Amino acid sequence: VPCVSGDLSKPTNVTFISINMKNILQWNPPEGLQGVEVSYTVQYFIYGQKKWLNKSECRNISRTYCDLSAETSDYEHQYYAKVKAMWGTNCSKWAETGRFYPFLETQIGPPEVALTTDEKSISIVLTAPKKWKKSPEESSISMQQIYSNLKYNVSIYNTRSNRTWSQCVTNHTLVFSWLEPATLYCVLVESFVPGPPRLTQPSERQCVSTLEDQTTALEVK
Amino acid sequence: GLKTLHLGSCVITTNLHGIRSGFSEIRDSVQAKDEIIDIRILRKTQSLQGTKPADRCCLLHHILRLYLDRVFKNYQPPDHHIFRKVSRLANSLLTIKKDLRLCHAHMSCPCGEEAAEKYSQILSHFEELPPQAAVVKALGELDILLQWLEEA
Amino acid sequence: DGAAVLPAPQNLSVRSVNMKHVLTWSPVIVPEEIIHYSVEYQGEYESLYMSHIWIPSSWCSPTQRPECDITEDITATVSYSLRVRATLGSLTSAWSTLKHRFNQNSTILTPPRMEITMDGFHLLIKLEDLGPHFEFFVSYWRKEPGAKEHVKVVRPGVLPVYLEMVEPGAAYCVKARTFVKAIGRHSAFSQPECVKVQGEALPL
Repeated sequence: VPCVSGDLSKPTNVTFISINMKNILQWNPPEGLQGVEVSYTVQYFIYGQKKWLNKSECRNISRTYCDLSAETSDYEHQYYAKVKAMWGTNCSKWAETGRFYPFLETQIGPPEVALTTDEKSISIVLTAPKKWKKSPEESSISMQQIYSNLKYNVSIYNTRSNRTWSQCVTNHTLVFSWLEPATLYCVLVESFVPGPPRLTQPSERQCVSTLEDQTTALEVK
Repeated sequence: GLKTLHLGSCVITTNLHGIRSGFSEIRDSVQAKDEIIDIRILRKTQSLQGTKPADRCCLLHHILRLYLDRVFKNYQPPDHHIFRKVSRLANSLLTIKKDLRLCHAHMSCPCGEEAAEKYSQILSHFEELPPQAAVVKALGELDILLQWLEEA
Repeated sequence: DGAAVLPAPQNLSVRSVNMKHVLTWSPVIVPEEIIHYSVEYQGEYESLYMSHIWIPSSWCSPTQRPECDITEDITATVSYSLRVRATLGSLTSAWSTLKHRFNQNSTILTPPRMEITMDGFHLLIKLEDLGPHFEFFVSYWRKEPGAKEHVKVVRPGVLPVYLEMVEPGAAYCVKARTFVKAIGRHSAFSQPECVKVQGEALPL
């Protein structure tokens, strides 16, 4: 049913949130209509091509986000998206994003961090973040394959000396040896790609304690 | 460190990272002025990395001349802040063009058919637009050109 | 004609250290009056392609001090023209232009200040933050004859950077220099700093 366009104010803050190429369009309800049963319709556009395209799963939806990852997955391209609000027979004008360049703008998520310890060392194994994929059956692609210059900034906090230091690495395994026994160390890792500034997302801080020094433990017995 | 551009037998280094961060400061406001979203000047089919290495130097040389002669020169910045940022980009691309001229002088920047064909396509996309709209669009597409350089 | 009455600033020069560029000039003195100055610049591009265009500097259009931080204006590795004029109310002086164009590749690069510390048996270095232009080449070795010198590229950051695991009882030395991508130049090395690791040397 065609609606009367422009009687409703537009959705606001229409923007792409992109992490590891998972590109979610999100927006806020129109001013003054929070809590009202509003529905939304989304369209997207490939810069340089000819027409706006529908996203069928985001037609007349009540949520305020829409996953456009599949539609915006070509690294070469740049995109726009727009959303309009509908309430009864009234609808808003379209609210549009700026030009979105996923390859340059996507946030690189943190790696998976696995820590193992012994008395005086901590081994850190990093697994590169995974690119968004269309379906679980699809084979995983690491963000490293897309950004060959992906690096990691590893920071380690010694809770006993209250000192933190960092190391920038490109490989996925590193060992910090000669640590203090029976000491809690906390590790935090951030992925980054040299180039245009991007938002970053550090990993969860993980803490692990080095084991008791066995020699002193034996003497105590 | 610096980015090395392999353009056939012409090899130059440039502070691409600095140029890209300079552009990212004005990207949103410049692109917001480009309302003709169904035309793209720098298209995948004319990309630098999709061009045979021997012709890349010449193609880039032509593209930079387009930017220096017709884009930056005719761009009307909305304020001094944007003006300074655009000046930084223009002067940075000028240094690349000067390096390409050295390659040209050393006969390592040949212009083959592919370079000529691709540049003429780019030029026709540019000239199909009203002049000021073309200038704004070309400036807004610097992230595409810089990505081509990144992949060259 | 008001423009000619006020003398133009003289003795323009640029002081540039570690990619911080300051334009200075001799102040124009008019007793009991406050003089303002305006600074403008032109990169090589503007000179070649739009020579009538001058760009007002970021921080000094106008300013009362006889100097101007032009670091945010000089942003490409080309030669820049700079000019200053004085104003007093409606009176303006003629422009005074820097005699020799300035290029940031002539900046003086000083060895970086650094702080060598240890956390347990981990050698750490903290380097002064000189801004986004700078990378650091850090060289470190064990203080003994024939010791191998290791080199690590360190980007500016808030935290100390881990260099090496060290052995108790041994001594280690570190020196660093800066590298500026934009101009492809590096500073001299800092004086080496050596630290002794506590504890007894491990039995061989």
